[in-house]
Amino acid sequence: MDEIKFIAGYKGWRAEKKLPISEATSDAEVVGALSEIRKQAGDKAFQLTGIDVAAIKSFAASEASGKSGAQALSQINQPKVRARLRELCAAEQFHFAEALFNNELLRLLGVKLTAGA
Amino acid sequence: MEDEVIFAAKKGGWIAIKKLAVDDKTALPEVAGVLMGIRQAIDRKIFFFAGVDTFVLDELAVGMAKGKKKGYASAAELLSAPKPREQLLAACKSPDALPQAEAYLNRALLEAIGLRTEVETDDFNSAYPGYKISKPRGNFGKKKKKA
Repeated sequence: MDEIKFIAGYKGWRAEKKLPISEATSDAEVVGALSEIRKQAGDKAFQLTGIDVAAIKSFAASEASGKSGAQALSQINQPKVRARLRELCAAEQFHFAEALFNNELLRLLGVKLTAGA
Repeated sequence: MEDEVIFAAKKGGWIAIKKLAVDDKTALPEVAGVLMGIRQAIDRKIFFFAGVDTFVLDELAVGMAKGKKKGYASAAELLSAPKPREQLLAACKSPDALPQAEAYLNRALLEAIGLRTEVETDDFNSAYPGYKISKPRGNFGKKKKKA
């Protein structure tokens, strides 16, 4: 039988999502389940890289403050952002920190990058 | 529940399985790596189930981003430019999928100018050389082979 299943546990973190798929299951339900799993796995992957997720999200929120839409990206001072991110993480974590910053910044500006919710 | 990470998906011809049993010897990058792999496996398929032909949009994004530099200025220009509605609709199974096609095009444009928004294999392998992970299989922005 077709099914989508995600079960994860690691040091107190728990996530579980199951969707049995039948002929009556719509593609929208499948997209919804995959979207939920994608978010849980993606968020936890960022967290496990050891970067300070809260600090980076807070920095992204401060940069996005008062701005909206993709055009606002042109107002972001990239060298300043990178310098601040280097302060917030170890050198080998920089790419993870920058990816999370970009992800959060785009989300706050209302730029949609994923299918589903 | 024991510590473990399991992702098992089967829908039609699509089968994806990622599994990691976690014990005291399991290193943190192994868990991060399998979660990254799960997210990547979903990324490649979720738009398909949303009714979007991603190969068409990969090609469109590469064309739109040609000559653009990496950075927020290019991202602002590309993401805020009017979307080519006809080409987007051509990549949709039905007009309902248009918002999903726009989301995929946004992502493909960012990828085309090298602006990361997720933990990706190259960065993972660079940060954790002892836990190298193979790049996921798939057609990443390359021209789709015609049968």
